[in-house]
Amino acid sequence: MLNSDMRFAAPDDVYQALLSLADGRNERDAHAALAAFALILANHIGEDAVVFEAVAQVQRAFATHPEALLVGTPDAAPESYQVGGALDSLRKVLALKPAPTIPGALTS
Amino acid sequence: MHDKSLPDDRSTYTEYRADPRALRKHVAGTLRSGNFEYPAYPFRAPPELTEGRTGRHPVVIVGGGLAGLAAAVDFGVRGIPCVLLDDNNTVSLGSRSIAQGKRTMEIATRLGIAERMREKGVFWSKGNTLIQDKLLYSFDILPEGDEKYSAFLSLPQYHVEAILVERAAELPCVDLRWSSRVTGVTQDDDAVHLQVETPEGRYAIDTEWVIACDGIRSTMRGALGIPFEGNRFIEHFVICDVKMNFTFPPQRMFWFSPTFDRSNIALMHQQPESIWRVDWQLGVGDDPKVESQPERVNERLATMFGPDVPFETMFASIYSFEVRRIDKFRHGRVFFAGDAAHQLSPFGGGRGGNSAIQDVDNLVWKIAHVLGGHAPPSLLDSYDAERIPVADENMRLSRRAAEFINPTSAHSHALRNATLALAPGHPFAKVLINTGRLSVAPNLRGSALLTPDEDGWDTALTPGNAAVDAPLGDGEWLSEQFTGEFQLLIYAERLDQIDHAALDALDADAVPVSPIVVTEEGGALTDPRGVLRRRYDLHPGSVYLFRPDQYVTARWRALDPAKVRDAVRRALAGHRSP
Repeated sequence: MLNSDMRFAAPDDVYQALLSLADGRNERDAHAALAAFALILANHIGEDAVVFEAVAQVQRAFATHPEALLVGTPDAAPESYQVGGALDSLRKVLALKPAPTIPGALTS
Repeated sequence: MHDKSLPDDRSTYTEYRADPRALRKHVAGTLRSGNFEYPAYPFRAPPELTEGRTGRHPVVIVGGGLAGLAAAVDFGVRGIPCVLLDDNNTVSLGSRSIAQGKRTMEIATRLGIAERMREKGVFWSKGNTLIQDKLLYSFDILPEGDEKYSAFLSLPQYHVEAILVERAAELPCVDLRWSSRVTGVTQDDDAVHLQVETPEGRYAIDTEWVIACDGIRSTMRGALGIPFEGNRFIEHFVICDVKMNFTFPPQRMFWFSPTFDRSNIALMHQQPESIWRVDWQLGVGDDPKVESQPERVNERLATMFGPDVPFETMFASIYSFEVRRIDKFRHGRVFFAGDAAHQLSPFGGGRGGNSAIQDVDNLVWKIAHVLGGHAPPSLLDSYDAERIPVADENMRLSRRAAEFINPTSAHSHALRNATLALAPGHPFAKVLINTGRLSVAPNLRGSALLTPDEDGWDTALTPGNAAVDAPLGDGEWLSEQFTGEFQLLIYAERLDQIDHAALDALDADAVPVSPIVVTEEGGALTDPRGVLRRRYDLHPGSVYLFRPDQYVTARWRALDPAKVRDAVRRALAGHRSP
């Protein structure tokens, strides 16, 4: 019901536009700007069920990937280092199925 | 190579290098082999010293890094004498740029070094982005297909520089002068006057044009008092080249919140010869001077790799970076290129080295045509007009990747982490993850040198695009047909439908326009699978005019020599002829 594929022509420009919601605002007002943005879009969607599904997906994503919310915070640093962690994760990745191709996912 | 140049007092760029000998004392296991022998290029006393006179040269290039050497070879293949002054006597230390983009490989084809680069480099396309040890997503930059080169070749800068030096030695009009430091610069209407210091004494050179390619700490920039200001980023990054006895298919690994370090991010990126580029960001409390000590670097690497994996650290340094450019790249008779003109972030998608080579690719043919008397000096202003917008775009993309990796506000941090949390389940969010966008050939849209279309074309390609490659018959590629002149691609069903007399006349002009003839039935180059026709929307009779740097500058549905000559004049003068 919710389309999660990339649909923007210029995804980085869209991300930049979302960043600009905070331009010239303090943290509280930046929150409010993002909320206003969500409200406008939710109303534009106009289907209650789709909005409920989007809310549920946010809840699920945050519950499944709490580590993502910690990135860049002091709580992200491991209490003890996993020795050999870099090559371990490399071995794990290699054991997985071949990487899917994501159109537009160019990275360095 | 700006390694030993005088520090630029206005620069806040910092770098702490670990002593390579101390780095290599740590050898866990039996691995023991240097991968690259740094050449020591000899100093040879030039005629200025042996004959005790002031030199006169059409072009002097200051700095023998990627930009400087590529410029020297470009003049060399054009048969134009040039002198390159470098204050060092070897290639750049450490790998610096490692991703040689498709556009760079196409330029390298024209310079005659692409095969040598291919032999030494590795192509890879797979990458993985993780949080801690959880895979967020993998990507495969599949080759777009039907182009000779894939998105990029992983080949460290020192190899590319060594290949360029080797190529320069094959070109009699290139004069590479090592251990030669510029100590003074003045210019007037007619010439630039350079003072040069060498191990065997000082001498002076007068030259018509100078290309300053002397890096982030450019002495030329300092000598001309040109400010170099922009955004400074406070984060410090460690960058190492590590030889590791651990083999697997080429991959790129990028970690947010790695489990093996307190850094915000860590990155491993494969290079040829079992060398890995390893980067990590220093933590908030880390002291760059302490963390650049060889023992500390090796300690952190040992934690990453674990006790059973022998490694040898070839190079390590810690740096912070700025994103900035000088206001104008042309200052009278002096042109700035590469890092001397603009500085980008290390996670920019390979923009530093590739844009340096693109800078001189844009500039050299213009200087060549001015020196040959075929274009007015005002053509050289188009270097600023065409390359400054590209530098600005590179800087914009650099800043965006830097903002994603290190958000500068709570709002930006929230957007970034929301993107990361959504990425595993939402394909659109994976695309938004920005740890550096791959450098691709820029479009020179809006340049006054281009001739606007008068016909309709059903292709994304426009004047201002670099030639897009296509496979031709008999294993040939379009990218191999470029000679560094103006060239006219003409397509027809049969050879006898082409006005050969008109093509011959164009080729015999003072500024020759050499033909690339493609036909359906053979007798010339062919396009058996129709890829060229589709990419360029070619109908029988269609023609494309390429500039000497392989950019599309004009195109028509039919060959009209008068229009071709007009477009060539426009590309050389920046205005339409009367």
